Amino acid sequence: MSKQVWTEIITPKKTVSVFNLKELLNYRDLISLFVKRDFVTLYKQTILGPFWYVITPIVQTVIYTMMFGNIFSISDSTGIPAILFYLSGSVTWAYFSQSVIKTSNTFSGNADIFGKVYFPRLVVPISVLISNLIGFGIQLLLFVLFFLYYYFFSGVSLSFNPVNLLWIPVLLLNMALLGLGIGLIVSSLTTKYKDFKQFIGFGIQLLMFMSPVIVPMSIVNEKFPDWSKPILEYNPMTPIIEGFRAAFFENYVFDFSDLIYSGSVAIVLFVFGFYIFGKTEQNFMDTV
Amino acid sequence: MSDLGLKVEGLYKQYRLGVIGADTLKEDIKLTFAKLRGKSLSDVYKIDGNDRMVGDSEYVWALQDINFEVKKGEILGIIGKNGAGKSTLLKILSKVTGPTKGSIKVNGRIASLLEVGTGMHPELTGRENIFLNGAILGMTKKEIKIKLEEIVEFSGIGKYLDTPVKRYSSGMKVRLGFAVAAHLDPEILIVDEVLAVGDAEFQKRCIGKMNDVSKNEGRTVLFVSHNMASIMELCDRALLMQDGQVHSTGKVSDIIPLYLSAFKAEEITSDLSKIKTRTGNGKVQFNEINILDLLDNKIDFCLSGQGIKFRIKLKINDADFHGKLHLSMNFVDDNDVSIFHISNSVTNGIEFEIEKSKDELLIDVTIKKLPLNSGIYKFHLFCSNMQEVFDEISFAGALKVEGGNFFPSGKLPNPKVTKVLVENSWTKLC
Repeated sequence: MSKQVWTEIITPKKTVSVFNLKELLNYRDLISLFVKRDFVTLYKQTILGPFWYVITPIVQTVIYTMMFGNIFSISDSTGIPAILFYLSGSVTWAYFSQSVIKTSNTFSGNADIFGKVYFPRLVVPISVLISNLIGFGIQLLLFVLFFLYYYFFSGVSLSFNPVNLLWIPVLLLNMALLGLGIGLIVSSLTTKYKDFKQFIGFGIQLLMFMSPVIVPMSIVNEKFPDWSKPILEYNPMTPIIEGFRAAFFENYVFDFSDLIYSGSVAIVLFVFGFYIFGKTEQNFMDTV
Repeated sequence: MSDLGLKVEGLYKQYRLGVIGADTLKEDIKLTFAKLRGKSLSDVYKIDGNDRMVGDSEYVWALQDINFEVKKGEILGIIGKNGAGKSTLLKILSKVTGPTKGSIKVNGRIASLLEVGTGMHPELTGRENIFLNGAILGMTKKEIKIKLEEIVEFSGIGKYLDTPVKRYSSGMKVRLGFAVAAHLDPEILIVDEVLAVGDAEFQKRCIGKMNDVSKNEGRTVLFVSHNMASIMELCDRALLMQDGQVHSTGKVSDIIPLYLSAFKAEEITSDLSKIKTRTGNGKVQFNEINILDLLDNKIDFCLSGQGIKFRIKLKINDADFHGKLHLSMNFVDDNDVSIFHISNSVTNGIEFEIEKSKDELLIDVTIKKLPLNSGIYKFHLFCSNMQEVFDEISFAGALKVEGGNFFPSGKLPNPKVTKVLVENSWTKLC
């Protein structure tokens, strides 16, 4: 008798281990195919196609500029043209909110596939993050075009230091972890109680009004009532949005050390999300 | 050397019935506190077995203490009535859901033919879907690229390869999905015929592939079916499940008779006295009918080619009744098309002669070799004295027929093509 070998042992899952991440690597082809599928199919049978990536933030920026630009006199108080201020806000916020909303739908939106075949469930939220990254890239390019226009042709003098651009990958990673963490937690909770799905829709919207997408922190600190300041300050997206602006405009008031707070919140949420997701994934088909 | 491909040890799966809502939140909280105090679920709630009729607990064991082994290259047939836990077992094997207790040890990749076409996106082309579908099933891009040509040829989609799948006919979609699944080359293949969609042709291909995979490539196959003929034809060993437990395992020829007889008959059709939808003057009425095998055991379904008996009890309501009694049964298929008709006056050439002052009659109708393909057949009952109609019941009951070995080959024609089986022989003369 030769020694019996087992390639895999299926047992009730008690612990969540980093082994899940290693398994994920074996499925990297699937991740890339999911990303491709999401990208290719999103704008199939639309006339404007991928231009929608650009249209949404432009329209948002125009609306914000018209509505709030003068109220808060953005360009006077921050030294950034209002258009660039709002564009930077909506581009970063779009990545975060899309990541949260789409990953939070992981279990209930894919119950059909998950009910028939096994692959590491984390493949889905990860591929969502990556395909959102494509959208973010396109929108970032849009921002850069506007930025170049203002830099060279508008006569406004912008203080730009290319070294600060190195912060962008850090900000992006921070944002991705934050979005993924929240998304994983919500998607795990939604398997049993669908209430969370309703909650996340307007929750994200509320969170936007508690972030400096519309008003810079410098104005918040100056003019807003005292009770509202901590809400904005403790929003982990605040340092990310402000940091993004500071990466392009050197004289924008921001201390990059504030990112440590946001980063630690993101890591805690991600670890917790990873844990609860791992706890849920084995048996969610029974309750979803 | 007998290497194992799969070993299941002490497997349990528990389900909770009912609706999830505000009440379950209350229960969850209760349960969490109980767990904190070091108790387990079974301390708090009573857990019923898998018999769906018994017990009122919301928690049931869908699987209880399942143990079995499958050798490499073996085809194991899994049989059991609906609700015996077969599909739950397969779900756990394919890791769609997890066990509550116990373990499954696996040697090699598991794939199942029940997820044909999973995750195909209608907007993507056939080629893109081959890659996507393959990757979902666990192949890498490299593996798929090597097999792409084979897959395309097998699926027969030809020049549609670069057309979005939403333009495909449903048959093409299934074929494409199957082609991908068939080229997965898993070490362990799971086939659930009960769930398999697709036409008979497609199911035949699944079975053909299964045979091929096991006999020629030495892979392990788990096959779930209600068709005893294909179980007999394909499998070496069978595992019989009942109420979430393993009833028995062993050689196919030993297990199938157990499957057929081990269950107590559900007496669906036996009591006819309460049926309201009947015509006739009621002088004589059908009171009871039971389906038996030739050894007088009650059965609730039978096999093609099996010998069966209908035991009919008649009640005579008219004390003066005597004389001729004509009885007949008419069998119809699920489209209400008549399949065959039998009567005592035709078979025996003469009606029963009933003497006076009897109040009950017991009649056996024997069919030595049931000439029906698998399916569900309803029967009508009729009795008269050739002048007046005493009793007529449309849809008095149903006969559930599963595939069996009507022919010595053990094979059966496609039930869509023929319901009736006729004994015949084919000889090549020159």
